[in-house]
Amino acid sequence: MSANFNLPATGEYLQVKKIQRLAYFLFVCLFVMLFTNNLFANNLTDKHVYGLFSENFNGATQNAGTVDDNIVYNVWNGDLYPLPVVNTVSGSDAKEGNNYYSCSVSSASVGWSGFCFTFVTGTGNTVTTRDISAFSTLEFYIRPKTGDVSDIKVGVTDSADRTVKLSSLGINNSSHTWQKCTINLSSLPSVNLTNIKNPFLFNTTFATATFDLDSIVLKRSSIGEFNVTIKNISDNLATSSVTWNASSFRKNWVAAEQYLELSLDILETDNWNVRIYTDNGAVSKDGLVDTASGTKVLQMCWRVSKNLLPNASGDTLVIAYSGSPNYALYDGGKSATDPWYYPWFYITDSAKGDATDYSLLWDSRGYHISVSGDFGGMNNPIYPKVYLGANCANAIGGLTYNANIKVILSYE
Amino acid sequence: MKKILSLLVVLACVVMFGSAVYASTDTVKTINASADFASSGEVYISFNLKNLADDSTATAIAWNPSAVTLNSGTETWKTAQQYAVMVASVTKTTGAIYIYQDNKSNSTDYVATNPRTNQDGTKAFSGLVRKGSGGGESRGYIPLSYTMSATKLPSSYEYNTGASTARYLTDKSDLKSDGSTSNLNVAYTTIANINGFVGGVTGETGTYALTGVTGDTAYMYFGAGFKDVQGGDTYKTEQILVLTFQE
Repeated sequence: MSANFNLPATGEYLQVKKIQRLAYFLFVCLFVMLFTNNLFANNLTDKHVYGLFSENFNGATQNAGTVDDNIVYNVWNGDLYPLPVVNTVSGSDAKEGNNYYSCSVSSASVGWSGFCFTFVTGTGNTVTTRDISAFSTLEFYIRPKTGDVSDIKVGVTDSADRTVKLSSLGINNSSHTWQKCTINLSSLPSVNLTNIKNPFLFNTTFATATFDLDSIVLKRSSIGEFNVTIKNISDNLATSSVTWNASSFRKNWVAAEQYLELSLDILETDNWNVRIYTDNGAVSKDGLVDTASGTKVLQMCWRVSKNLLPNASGDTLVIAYSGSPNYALYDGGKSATDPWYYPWFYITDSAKGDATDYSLLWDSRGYHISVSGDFGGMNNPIYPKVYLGANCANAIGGLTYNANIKVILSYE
Repeated sequence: MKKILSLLVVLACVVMFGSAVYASTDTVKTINASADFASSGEVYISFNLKNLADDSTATAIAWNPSAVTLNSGTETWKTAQQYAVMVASVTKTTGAIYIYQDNKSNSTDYVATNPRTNQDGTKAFSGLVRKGSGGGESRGYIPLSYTMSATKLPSSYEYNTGASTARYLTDKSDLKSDGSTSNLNVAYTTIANINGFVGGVTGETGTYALTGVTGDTAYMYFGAGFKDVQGGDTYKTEQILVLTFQE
């Protein structure tokens, strides 16, 4: 019996080194992806609701460069037909968030025109195709304003445009309100959903009309998830609970050391909202409650932001207050006279049994910016952050205070 | 029977579709939040004597002999010429600030070796001790009491023992009626606790908070009950203790 140990030949040895380096590279990539998941997310693969033009749902990003979910929008025309005019408009009359598309098409004796989103890739925005076969419907809102939209066709493009007329989707041209359109993707004639170039388009022939578009999404038939992740403010890593530092003792309003990151991938109806409460079993226990007697309460508050706080825009986690005894809470880095900067809401307990603005984090209008009733739409990546505060001025040494907090997504 | 069955079917449909129309779906995420102040908090007091007449700093508490009727035979409470300004903070649930005496630790001339007997049979070593008496039943003590106020009282203030805020000053060596050691009555000795300054006593052992306090400051006034004092007597205590306590 014998045993041999042979070094590989030089070429084989170099191959082994290459594989090692490749493995190391892949490991580093995996590590980077894990800790920067939002940046490199492939929403088309991950999401059940894929926003093409949405301020509440993650999805495509226009001119996103190297990000996977990169789209551009195009308009085109033929012959003497004018280009459609498509502008983004901000207004409280948006169906979702703050923005919508205002569209105008003009008739001519001949010709055609259109508007579309196109999948692109790379920094040069090279047109590409993607597989959207996991999605079952294309949904959007339209608000007819002038003219006749009935004959405008909407749909997707693979090797050719696969469309249906708006009239077939039940649009009431004389009603100048937001109306929902749902296109069953598999019902589009001859469509190849595995090879889609334009995930949304409309085109017109001999039509004159103005109309608005908003909340354009692709949806799967299965329901996605709503998640809340607790993260440390210090390093943005996930953790298991929300805490206040012991240095908060006897201080007025102090922010917690963690924030809640919300992730929404459910759009079953348009009547949805996300609310926050304490769940401590009594109306009066709307805060942190001492564990010894259950009677001493430190009031709590919350604010929601589309961005991490504090940030370079001057948004802080300093909770300032004015007025007595009903303090108004505002961002200590901002002006006390500007209601926009009253983003902190007193928390209420679920035992109160109501659904006031003081519990509303997020709905189709966007995240709840301020007590004065402002809401804000968001851009990808859409993961609103909820920050919590507590008034520890009357905290008692020797005690621990706890709160159960509920974040609830509701839809009817 | 058929009619009843069809009615039930209709009702079932109403219930089913009715609930479908109004059904609300909730996805609930629960988060635990906590603030642990188990190791936080403090017990602190500054206790500074001032003269009632002019608010100047004082180093001892005294009574004006000319205000006292000698050998009156009736206990008459007189206000001391000094008062205390207290700045206190108790922010720990187990914390408290106490005041009591330890007349057994006085210097030789004023040491209390024998108690007096109170009306309820308890034995007291508290109060001012007559020089060289060692305490005892016969003119050995002048009882002391104190009252607390949220505001500074005028220099003309006259001690009112009828006020519920007045509490006897007790001694750590006081005895129960059966002669056993009496632990200090917390209600009579507590100046401040987690609820703030103590305003007075309710019942045997209960206390209530002093109201109207601004910030962390309150005032203490002292009374002595003169009855059998005679010319040439000197009464004194060297051991009024103000202590902070926390577990």
